Amino acid sequence: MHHILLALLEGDLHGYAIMQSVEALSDGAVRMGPGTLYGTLKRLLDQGLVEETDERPAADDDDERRRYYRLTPSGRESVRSETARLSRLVKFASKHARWAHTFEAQAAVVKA
Amino acid sequence: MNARKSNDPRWIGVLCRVYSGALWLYPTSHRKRWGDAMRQAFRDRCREAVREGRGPLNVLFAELLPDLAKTVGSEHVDAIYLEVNPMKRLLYVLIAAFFAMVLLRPDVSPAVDKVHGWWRQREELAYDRAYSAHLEALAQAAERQRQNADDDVTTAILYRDATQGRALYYQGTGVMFEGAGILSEAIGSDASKALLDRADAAFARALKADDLWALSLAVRKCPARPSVCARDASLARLKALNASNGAVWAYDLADAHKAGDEERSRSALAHMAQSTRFDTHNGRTVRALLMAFDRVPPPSRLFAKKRSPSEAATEMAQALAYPRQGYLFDEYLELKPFTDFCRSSDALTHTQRQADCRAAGKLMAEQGELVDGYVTWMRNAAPGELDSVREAFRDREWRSWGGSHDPSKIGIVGRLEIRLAGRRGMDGRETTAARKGEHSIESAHDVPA
Repeated sequence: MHHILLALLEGDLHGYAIMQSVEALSDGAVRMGPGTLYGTLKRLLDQGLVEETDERPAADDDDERRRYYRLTPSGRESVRSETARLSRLVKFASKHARWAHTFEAQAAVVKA
Repeated sequence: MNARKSNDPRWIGVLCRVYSGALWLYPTSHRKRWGDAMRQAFRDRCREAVREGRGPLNVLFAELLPDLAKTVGSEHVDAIYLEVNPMKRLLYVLIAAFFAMVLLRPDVSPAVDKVHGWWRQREELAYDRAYSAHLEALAQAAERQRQNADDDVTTAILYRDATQGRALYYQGTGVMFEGAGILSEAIGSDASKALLDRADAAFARALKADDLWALSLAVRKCPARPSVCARDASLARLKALNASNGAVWAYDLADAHKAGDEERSRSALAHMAQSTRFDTHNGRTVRALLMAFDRVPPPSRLFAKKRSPSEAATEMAQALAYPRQGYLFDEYLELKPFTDFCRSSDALTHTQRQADCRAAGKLMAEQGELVDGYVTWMRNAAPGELDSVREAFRDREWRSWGGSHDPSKIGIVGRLEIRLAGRRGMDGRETTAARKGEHSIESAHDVPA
């Protein structure tokens, strides 16, 4: 869900573009199928985090059957708070990872 | 789009048609709202696969099927929970619960029964294989033990123990290892059956040779199949061969209790009191107590109606004036309830019983039950009698307690009692425990009976 919201930060995107963007954002770790994408989009639309738009960013080279999506203000707010939460987690994990390394080193010394 | 479409490989068209068909797996509302977009996204994915040099099978198995498997179910749940009105939702839940209950009952649904049976069979076979392997290891251990076993009874016990998942050291002094448990028998594995066959054969040989230990085990704790032990016949044979043994008659008494047979009980009790040889140390003491107290109750009081052995034994203990003690004569000739009573404060508040306990303590001491005898006698001794009790126990060989010549086999409590009792006996000094005991005796004499 967060991946899709992040992808939409780049601007209005259609479904397949979102799939590509998510894949690029996650370095290929997250690869969405159409079922996953549209199921999640449905929920985001229902929650008011995303909306469908009639504007067509690349009108010349576009299939007019495509639907485009954009973040709503509450969607942006959601991205912001989720990103802040993840930052805190990363900060915490980094701090404790250093301790973990120290303990591992001590344990290795004791074992030896 | 059409121009690009014409350049697409054929398989893209085929897969897209497959995907269009697969969309029918989604709820109608979802399909109507998102079907076209999903088809379009899937087609784009296929084209991307072509650009990356991937084939149709890759798209089918790596993308289409996993995506369907992941999302179809959840979309249906969403459709039910988000799109259906609450009343209908409740109805769906009830219907689903009803079908789940019906289908999951093996006796209702033959299909589920079949699956269940197949699963159980697989499970049991797996157990069987595992336990067979384990039992085979136990059998080999028993076989090694058997090289030390010089008689058929020990052999039978070893095999039987292996069947039950444990192997005992020769002479049955300690558990070597356990593991297979009673399941081995429940499963009836081949290894288990083979071990039982071997136990049966060995035990049958011992019974045929009138081995007294085998006969006693056949009555008490059959180490083979019950048909081999033939309990009643074995007890009759044991009585004929070993009539002077009080323990044999104690088994007979236990059987008489169960059967509610007064005549047989009287006979067994008489034999117990007159027997000249008991197998166990406690047995000798019990026989002495029976003779000394001469309190075998009239059978009519004991066996007026059928009782469980414990009820009958309780009544017998009551008849002997030890109402709170469950049993005096169980099939193992257990003396503990008697001595427990005599060492309790209950005994100290009743003059008659106190006298009995004092007499019992003396008897036990004479029989070699030094610790039980000493403690029982001392606790129930009259205030002026303590010195004579100590005198009687002075210079006794304490290590002979319990018939054991190996001090390491005496438990912690036993050793502590021996130490305390021995110290008092040897140097006459009082310990805290002794002072406590003396005090309680004195107090007890102030309490009216």
